[in-house]
Amino acid sequence: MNHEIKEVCIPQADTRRTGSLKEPIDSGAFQLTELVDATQLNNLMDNFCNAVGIAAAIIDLNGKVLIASRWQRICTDFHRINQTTCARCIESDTELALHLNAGESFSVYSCLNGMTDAASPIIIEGKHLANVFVGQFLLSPPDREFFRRQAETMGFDRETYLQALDEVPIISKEKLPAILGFLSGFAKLVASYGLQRLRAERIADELSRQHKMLEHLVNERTRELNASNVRLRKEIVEHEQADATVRRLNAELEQRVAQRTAELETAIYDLENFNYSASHDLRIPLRAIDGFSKILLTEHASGLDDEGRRLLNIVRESTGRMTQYIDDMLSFSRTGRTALAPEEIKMEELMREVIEELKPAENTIQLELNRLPNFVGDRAMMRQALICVLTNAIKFSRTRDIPKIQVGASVNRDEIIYYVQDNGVGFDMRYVGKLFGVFQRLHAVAEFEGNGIGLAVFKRIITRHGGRVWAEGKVNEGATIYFALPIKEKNLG
Amino acid sequence: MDNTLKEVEILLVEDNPTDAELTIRALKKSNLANKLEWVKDGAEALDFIFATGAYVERLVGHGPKVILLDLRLPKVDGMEVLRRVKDDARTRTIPVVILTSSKEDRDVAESYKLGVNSYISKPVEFDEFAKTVSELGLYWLLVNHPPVLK
Repeated sequence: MNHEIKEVCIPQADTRRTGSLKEPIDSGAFQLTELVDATQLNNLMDNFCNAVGIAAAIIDLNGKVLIASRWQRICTDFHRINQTTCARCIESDTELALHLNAGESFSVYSCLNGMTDAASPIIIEGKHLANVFVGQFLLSPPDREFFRRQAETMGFDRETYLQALDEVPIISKEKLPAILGFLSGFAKLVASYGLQRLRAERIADELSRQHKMLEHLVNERTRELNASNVRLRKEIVEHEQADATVRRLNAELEQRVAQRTAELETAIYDLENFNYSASHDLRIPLRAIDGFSKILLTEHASGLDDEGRRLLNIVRESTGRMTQYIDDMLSFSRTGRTALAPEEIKMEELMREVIEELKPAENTIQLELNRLPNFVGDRAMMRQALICVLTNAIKFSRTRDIPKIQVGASVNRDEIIYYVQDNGVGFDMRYVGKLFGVFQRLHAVAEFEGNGIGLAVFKRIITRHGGRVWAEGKVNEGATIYFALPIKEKNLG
Repeated sequence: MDNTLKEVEILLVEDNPTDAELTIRALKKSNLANKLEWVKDGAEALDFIFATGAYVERLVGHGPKVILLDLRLPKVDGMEVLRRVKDDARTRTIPVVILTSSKEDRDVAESYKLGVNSYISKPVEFDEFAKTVSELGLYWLLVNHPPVLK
């Protein structure tokens, strides 16, 4: 039994197959040799061929002999050695394969070397992978004359060649399909198992690869998570520290605010007490000075000469001024302490009312009262403010032949700007800073009465309403007092 | 006649002697000071009104016709005196006039809350002061018609 395949004339596979294990598994991506254990299959085929007495082979579509059993010496030692006969062998193989490739399930061919071959395809999952060949047999007793001539023509040793011919089995044609069917079916069965195994292996490989990848990913994520955990823990600690600091600072701040509030409350309490005392206690001696000096002047006049009476009158005038100072001081302090009671104020109406109240009996004032927008604020206080600013305008313009007072307003984005303009004696802009100061005067008392509290009260009232005041003036050319009040205050009432 | 039992029309509660003298002087000018009692602190005023202490012999509810009450007083302040007078049914009808130097809004408000009949801020200027005091004396003693005392 010669299992050895002589390579001399057997066409070599042009390895077109390029599939690798990494590729998705489909039956076109592998070769039969990968699916079956060639040695085991070979042994099985040997046993079968010995039992049946024919040669068999499995040859892939490229002509590569994968498995061969019980090849006849006439073929291995003669036909496949000689160039001419070997060509015929290949022609026979090819012819059979062509039939099978065309979809036939069974093909029989009588080779030019005088043998008979038959073949059947091995098809796995619809893919034609290889063919099973049985051959090198005779369908009927040989024409010995033909073989003798062939031995001469091809230069074979006639004796040994004919001996080899005698070894060639004679198989009845009816048996062929069963033999081929068994072989191809068997190969197919084995190959199918192989394919399943291969698939399982590949799936296992893939699973293991995925598992490794997953493990790697998990490890990587775990590392990242650990790192961010460390970072987070650090941040939490920092946060807690910052929180503690904020809490501590807040506590300190609250304590300081409480302390300041207490101090302020004490200060306000003291101030209120002082104001109360001032309004009460300071008046008593003043009333006594004024009262008793008046009694002295009326009931004891005879005991006084003119100079005595003049001096007493100075005492009484001074007392009056002192009283006025105290009253003004208290009223100024009250404007700072009294809570605001906001309501819609018709400024134009209020202005007219105040002017009516203040204008001198022999009124010569030329008044121009323009439209004034309403404002939400404390009416009583605003009234006092207007009294202050208009008293000023009337006072300082009364020396004019025709005193002129103009009142108006303009509105910008967030405030109403009111103004009171007079054509009075005006003031030097160098001293504008003193204009709104408490007890600050820009004119001698002899010239214009008053103790310089009016515009200070005015400013305080406007400031308490969230506004601001300013002034423009020129000596002998009048003055303009402006006061701007925030429009948002309208939301108060 | 016992000084504590004399008929009193005006009770002047005033701790300051100069203010008291000026007040009495102004009332005298209008002949209103004949039946005037001057007490110098709140405790003394309460003794007089409720017939206790030095005034235990008096009868509660028999005058005065008007109380002129200063607010800042030693011992018991004017507001407390006012509260006690208006809290007691026997004395509630006695007109109380606060006569004080204070112009504080809170004093005015508190006094009216307690039921004061009048609140006068003493003018500093003497002529005005004398006029005010004499007018209020005339009003409460002669013009005003009080309920009949039981």
